[in-house]
Amino acid sequence: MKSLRATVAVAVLAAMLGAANTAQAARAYIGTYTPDLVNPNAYANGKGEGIYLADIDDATGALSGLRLVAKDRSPSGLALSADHKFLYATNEIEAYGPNKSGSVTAYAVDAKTGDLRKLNTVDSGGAGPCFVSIHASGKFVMVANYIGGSYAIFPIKPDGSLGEASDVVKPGGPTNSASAVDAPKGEYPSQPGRGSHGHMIASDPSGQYVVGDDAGRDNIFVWRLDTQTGKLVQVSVTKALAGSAPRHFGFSSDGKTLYQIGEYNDRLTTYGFADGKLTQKGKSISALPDGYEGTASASRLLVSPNGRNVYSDNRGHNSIATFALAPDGLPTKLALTPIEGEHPRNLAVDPGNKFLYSLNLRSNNIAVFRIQPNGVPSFTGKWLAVSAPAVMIVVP
Amino acid sequence: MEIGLLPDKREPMTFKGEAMKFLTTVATAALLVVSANAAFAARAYIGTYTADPSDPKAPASGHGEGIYLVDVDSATGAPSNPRVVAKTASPSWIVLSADHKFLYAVNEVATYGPNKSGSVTAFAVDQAIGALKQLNVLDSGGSIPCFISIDPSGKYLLVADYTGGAYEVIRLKADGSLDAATDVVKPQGPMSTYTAADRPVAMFGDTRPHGSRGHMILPDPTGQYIVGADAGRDQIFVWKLDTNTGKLNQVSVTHSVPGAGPRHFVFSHDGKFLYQQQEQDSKLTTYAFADGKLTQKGASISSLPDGFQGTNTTSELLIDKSGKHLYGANRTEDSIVTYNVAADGSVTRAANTWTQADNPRSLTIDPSGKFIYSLNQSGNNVVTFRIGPNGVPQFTGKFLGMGSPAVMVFLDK
Repeated sequence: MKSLRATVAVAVLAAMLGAANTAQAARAYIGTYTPDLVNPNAYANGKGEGIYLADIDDATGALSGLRLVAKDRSPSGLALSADHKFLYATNEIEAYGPNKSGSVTAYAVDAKTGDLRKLNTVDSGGAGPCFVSIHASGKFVMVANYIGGSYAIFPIKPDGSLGEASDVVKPGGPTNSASAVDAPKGEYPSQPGRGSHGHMIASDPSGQYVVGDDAGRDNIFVWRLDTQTGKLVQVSVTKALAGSAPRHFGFSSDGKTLYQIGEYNDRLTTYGFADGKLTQKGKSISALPDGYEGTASASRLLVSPNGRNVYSDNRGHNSIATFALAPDGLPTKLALTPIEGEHPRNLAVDPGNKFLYSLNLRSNNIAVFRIQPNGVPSFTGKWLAVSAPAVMIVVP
Repeated sequence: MEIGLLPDKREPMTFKGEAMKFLTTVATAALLVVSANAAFAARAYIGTYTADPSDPKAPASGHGEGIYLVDVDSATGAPSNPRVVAKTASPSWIVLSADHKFLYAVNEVATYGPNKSGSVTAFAVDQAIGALKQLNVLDSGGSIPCFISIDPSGKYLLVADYTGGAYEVIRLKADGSLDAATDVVKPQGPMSTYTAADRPVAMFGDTRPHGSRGHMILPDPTGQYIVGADAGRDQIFVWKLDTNTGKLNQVSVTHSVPGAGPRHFVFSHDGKFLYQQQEQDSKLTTYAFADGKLTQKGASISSLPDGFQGTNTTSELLIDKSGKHLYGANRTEDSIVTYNVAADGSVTRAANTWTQADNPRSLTIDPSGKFIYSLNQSGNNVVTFRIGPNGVPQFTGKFLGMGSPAVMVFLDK
């Protein structure tokens, strides 16, 4: 009798824990490419329907319970406010308003259910916006426009909605070379005579600077953001290798080192970062296997939340490159892991540094990897079918 | 011959004075070594997708320039030194005559002649150097021809037209050139469904064709029958070829699962089984083949790893010399699937091996049976695998960058 009572107590306790677990389980927002009826050949034409929410199993990392929480047009960049109350999405289109621009949409997040309520949509300041982040001050949303070749700043209103752009920076200058001298053999330049292509914009860890990648003219911009006026003030411009297409970057935890991946040469370049200026450290290293020949283009670069590894995606080769970071910040390539699908558009790592997710655009799935002690991802055998996944953020 | 001196131990050199003299010696020796190597290195043709000026976004528009010849290292299996031997439009499938004196290629286009058809091109092979001399070109009987084979009589070419949804028979002349079409079979009837009930999660099916899609046509090992896969209406045709008239006479039609998209098939070496790779549901179906009729044996099996979710379409299917293994290609999951074949002809999936790049269009096993090649159409490379003791391919680390490779055929046996 005593043991039965104990069993019941355990069962009740387990049920309570279960309920508690359910309430605290991690979730992920997944942005997808949606049909582009005007330009079916657009990169951003996909079969998704907008922003989805999925549940994450804390033990296995597996994703389940996929449900659409916002019907939206090609939300390929997502950023969550620090208090998790608001979500911002780029609409990677070239059909917004009379200027055939892209747009940015603000959402209020239901803390309990994760549901999204649309607040407003504004012109992104250029066509094909592909990246969004929130400035360190928490007061501005920053957007990189790929096709429009611009960077735009949007004030966040107290209710979380967005004001019209307070600044749009559109670099000029001559067009650049179509490919880099150190690109793999078998890489076919897709865009000869490129103009600017804004591919990423984000604050540095100190919050003093804003960095932007121009994958068209091969420049890395450093600005300060005037938080009174919402204007970007240029501090420096660093020339990457011509034709390398700097696409994504990440900072070391101390903010002293910046890691830059080149889309067209698929190489990782390390820069020292001080006083808003970049100084290359050592030689760039290939994110591909030795002797690789064929098409390859890097997409996402991420520094792991624990600061020990850099991950980058190889489209074409369909792998994740893992780099180990030495105390001096210099990376060495550890491994290449197949993504278990085709065309990794993006990567996500949970804040606990336990799981890595590969968003495989053309195979319409997300593959789940467990991060091993040395940082190298190991496939768990778990996929989740998602149409044209482009971006994912894990909400702990 | 002092092969050991060269060419692996060369130091960096400058083109000056004594070094130049040495270099001349080296070059002479190198030539000798190359020709010696050529005696035991195998050569292969690789057909590629070429640019389609009328529609650069078309799936068949590629970065290749035609048919290439490559040298294949017999020790490592690695192909190298690709050179264009025939500039021809999208030769996406090629076949050699039994005596290797002639090569026939489809031109996977929809721009030939007033009917916007595809075409077939005949070449004479210079076996000493591998050069190709174009003989003539003929209408393929429908647009986007994607497969070509030769009847065992050696008198007829058999062509499958994908978009045109047709199968064509072309009579060959004694000089290897193309005479004339003797038959064009164009199946009619109601269209099939877009997607198969047993497809993987996230197969959208909206790229599925509306009518017949000829994807393969091949004689059976007995030489009595001709089999054609229709990936559009999900049918497998069996014909007899009248070698006097060049006409196909239908023997049987077998229906696949609606929406399955039967694409490439192989026969067991004794001709008693036909293994059918299904493009749209990523399944392999085994049929007993007797008296020109197919009878399904057991349930279809998946070409994909357990638990796979996502999009995938299969492409190639091959059988090895021993007959104990089948190899299939998965596109977007991007793997070579190995199947084990049991004594009773039944198959089980053994492994999936990463192709190391996008979109394997086809696979080829070398004549020694030691190596298997993945022709990665969108990855723009040919990747070499060594076939392991258990039949499972192992990546050799060798990539050959090439524009839009589609098919590879060994010239040297």
